[in-house]
Amino acid sequence: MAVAIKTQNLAPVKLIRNVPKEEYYVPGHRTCAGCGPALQYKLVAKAAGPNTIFLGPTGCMYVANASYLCTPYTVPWMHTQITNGGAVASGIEAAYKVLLRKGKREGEFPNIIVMAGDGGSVDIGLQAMSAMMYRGHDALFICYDNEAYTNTGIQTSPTTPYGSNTTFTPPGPAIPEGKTTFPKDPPQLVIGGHPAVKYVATASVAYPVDLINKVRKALNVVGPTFLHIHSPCPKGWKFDASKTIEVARLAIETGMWNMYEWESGEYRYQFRPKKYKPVREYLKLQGRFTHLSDAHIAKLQAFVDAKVKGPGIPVQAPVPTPPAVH
Amino acid sequence: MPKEMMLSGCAASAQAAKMAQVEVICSYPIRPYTAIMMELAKMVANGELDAEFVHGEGEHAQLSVVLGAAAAGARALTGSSGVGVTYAFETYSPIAGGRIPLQMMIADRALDPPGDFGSEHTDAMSCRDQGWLMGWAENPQEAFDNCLINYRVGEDHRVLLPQFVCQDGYFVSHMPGKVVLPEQSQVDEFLPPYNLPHPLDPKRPVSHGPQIRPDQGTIMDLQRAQAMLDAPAVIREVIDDYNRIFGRNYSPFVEEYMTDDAEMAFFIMGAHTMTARHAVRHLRSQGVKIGLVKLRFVRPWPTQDVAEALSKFKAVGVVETSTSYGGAARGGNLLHEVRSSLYELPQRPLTTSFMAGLGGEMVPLKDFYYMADILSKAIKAGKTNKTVYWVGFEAED
Amino acid sequence: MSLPNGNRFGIRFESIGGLGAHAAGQVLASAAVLKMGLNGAHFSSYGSEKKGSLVRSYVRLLPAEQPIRTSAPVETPDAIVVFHAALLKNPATFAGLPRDGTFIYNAPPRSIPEELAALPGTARIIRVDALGIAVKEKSRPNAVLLGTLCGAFPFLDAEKVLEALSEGFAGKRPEAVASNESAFRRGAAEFEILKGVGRAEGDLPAARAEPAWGYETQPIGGIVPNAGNTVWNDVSAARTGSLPVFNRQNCIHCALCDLVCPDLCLVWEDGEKGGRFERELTGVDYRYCKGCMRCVETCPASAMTKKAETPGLAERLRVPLFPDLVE
Repeated sequence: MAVAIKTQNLAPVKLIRNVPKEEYYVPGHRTCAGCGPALQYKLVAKAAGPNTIFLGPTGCMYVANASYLCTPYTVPWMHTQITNGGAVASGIEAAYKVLLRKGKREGEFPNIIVMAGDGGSVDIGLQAMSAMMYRGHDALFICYDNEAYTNTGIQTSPTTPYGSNTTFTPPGPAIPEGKTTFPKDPPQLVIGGHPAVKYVATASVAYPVDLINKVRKALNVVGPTFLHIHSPCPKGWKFDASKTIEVARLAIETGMWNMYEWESGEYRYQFRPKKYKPVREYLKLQGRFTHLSDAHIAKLQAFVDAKVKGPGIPVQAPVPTPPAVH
Repeated sequence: MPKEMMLSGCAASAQAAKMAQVEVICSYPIRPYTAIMMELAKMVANGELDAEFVHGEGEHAQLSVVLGAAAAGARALTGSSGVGVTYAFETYSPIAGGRIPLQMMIADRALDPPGDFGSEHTDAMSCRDQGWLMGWAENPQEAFDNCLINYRVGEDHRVLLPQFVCQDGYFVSHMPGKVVLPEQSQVDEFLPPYNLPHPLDPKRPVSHGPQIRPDQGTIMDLQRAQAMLDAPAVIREVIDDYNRIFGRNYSPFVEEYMTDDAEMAFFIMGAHTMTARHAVRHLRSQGVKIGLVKLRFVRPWPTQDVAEALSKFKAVGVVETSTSYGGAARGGNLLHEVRSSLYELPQRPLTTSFMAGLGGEMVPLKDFYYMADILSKAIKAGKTNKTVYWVGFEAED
Repeated sequence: MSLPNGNRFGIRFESIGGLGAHAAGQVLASAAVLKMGLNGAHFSSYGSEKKGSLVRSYVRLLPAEQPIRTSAPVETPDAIVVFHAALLKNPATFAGLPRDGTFIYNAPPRSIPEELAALPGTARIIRVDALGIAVKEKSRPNAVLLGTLCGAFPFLDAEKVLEALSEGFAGKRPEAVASNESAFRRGAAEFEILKGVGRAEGDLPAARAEPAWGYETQPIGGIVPNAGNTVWNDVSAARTGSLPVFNRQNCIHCALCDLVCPDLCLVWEDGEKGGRFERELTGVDYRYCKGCMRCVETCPASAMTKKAETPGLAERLRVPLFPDLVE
């Protein structure tokens, strides 16, 4: 009788020279030059290896990758609606359980990875993601966070930072800061209330080896896991494509992005600065923030200061700027 | 030995799913189909059925879960009623267009507003353009049989389409009727194991559903249309096989009842067919030349079979238990397709629509007598007075 | 205001996302309709809204009293304007140009690609260094090309088109107005009419999209059975003037460039037996390089440097990633 649970143990990578050479996400895809999400996709595919099935909810990593009946994936991949990445993955996982148990398939239980954008993870896709975490399916849910609905022309999403200029939050005299709300915190949403989840981590394209290791660790866990990967978008955030890594690093150094793992109740931090740089240094590199006044930046700084005191502490978002008086 | 039992439509459907050895089931509660899932949950819990029973977080999720499961290579089953069916609407085209042959059992329920547990066919009928096979059961035996028949037709490589297997809420889903359960060996002879051409399998990587250009899209639409054109031949084969193995006597698309020398007929599907049969027998005993034609498949719509069956009558009353507001049929659904089927005939019967059973109301015999009376008058006058009659709400004709 | 060519005029812009072809079409059409007393329509066809994907923008002009009866693409344009020279490699770029049509393309001086021979010998072929002028004036190629279009077709009132261009920016970025004007005027003056380049006879046939598959051969359900077939795509048109050049002498084979390249352009081979490196970088496959320059930013050893892309440079330096599969 075939085994119906995962027994693999993907080894962690200590040095760059141990990063696997094989690629499962091949070139020729039509992402923008310097695309952050494409880079993390490549690294995730490398980390996961050939016994993997990817799900692609609608978004940049669907449309730009698999344009015009082409596919850059050399492992099985299926498109899902932006609403249901977690649900379709759950179905595949259930199928493999029963197919392996009945001997209709052989071999190791596959890695099942949902590659969802921020919208497909915590906005329209939130219900399906949460249900997958709750039901305990052995699958990995990755939220590649480029902080907007970028594929449709850069609109705000629940992870878009306060003060961002997007096409649904353009700054103007009536709404000077652009986006007035503070973002959801995806890993905290998962950690907060899903008993079946044992491992949640954040990662960034700034630290590729760390990313690869977190993916492998998540895949080794038998049960649902969640990764939140910071994937800067040159077009959406309005910065030069060559600066993607620099922007991603500054996000960590200013506290706008926090790197940590949560494993069965224990937090472990990576790349935590001894002293945080002011958020202004991160904001000034990106065109989506150029309209902000000192008062707005101060609000954002206050939010970040509270947030970096440690995950798990609920952050009180400051009161948004009142509308302009005519 | 085949076993005779008294089963409700829901219980019969669950038995069929078990004998079809479904492998992944996704549940979500909504009346009245929930009983199917409760039966299946018990079967899984006590080891009668080796399947994964996934608790979906909503109907949209149910369809998404079984889509994943079926794409991965497992025979998958889900179901719903009423607004649950319409909540999942986003998924129906991706599933049919992706050619993933999973099955959804629908026990009808009127759509909101407001909450109404009564049965109307509108929930499933509003999804009929998406490319799924669709048909109604008249009684629990048919609910059982249609499950197996639809799996076999849908999974056939000439078709590869998902299936809506429908039954009236309450009137079929919850009223017990005699069901003959076959031997598992008979089912195994009839239904081969699930075999999708390109499942999601790391050993043979494929991509399902990349983004396309418009010129590539027309081709996919045409292929889906072609599958529907190829389906009737497969359905005929499958029904022959079913009758042979299980000793039934189904005609594939339309069943005629007391239509010899009939001048007029009811055209009807679903639970109220039973009452209509009683009405026809009674009217015949009074000398009225009336018959009944029952429809088994709404999709693929059997144009030829419907035309042949109805062409011999002077008047046809289409009994509708679903709504299409603002349409040319002023309220009904089936009338459009009946008239379309008759259009090419040199001699067409008069046709009119009878809205009956809406809201989940019973359709009593006297309503059928009223309909027969309207049809008689129409034949005498050589025309129908109205396109649609809301039975029970019309002034004296 | 009268139009040439039997009282109608059609233009097709051939471009890739990010170069402003869509905006250019809008400016031209609104100038024609709101300021020049013509009837006009503009629309673009493109896929999802991202840099690097093909964009075609169409403008149709008619006299004021004539209604526009179609919204189909302009199949036989009086003028084709090409925003990026890489598109000259695609025969569809030339499709439908009549024998007396005008063909304007963006390229630096002395750059006369051999593909232009496919144009009619009697067509008017114009080269303008839209990118070079745009960079100098801190503007964008679309402003220059609009100027060239007006210079080539006197019936288009250059001042009115310039007004429409400036209005678009006056509110958002007033500093851009002056740069755009300089770029526009230089575009109107500094273009070169080429002689003896086109060698075709008569009109060029219009293109119709011919899908590779038909309904009997396309795999059903939108399934792609060939995993990884994007390797046959050439995405080099996404580059906007620069590419990374590899210097093997300086390279320490640390693979940091590989870890930041989203496109897998870097070609590796096993190092010498017993040598210092297990794997060594041999070069860049420019077929897949989009010019993001992250390898240049990340390299600690100056083995990758940013250079301006001149015609033919990428072909000369290219190291193929899949030599057996893709030429």
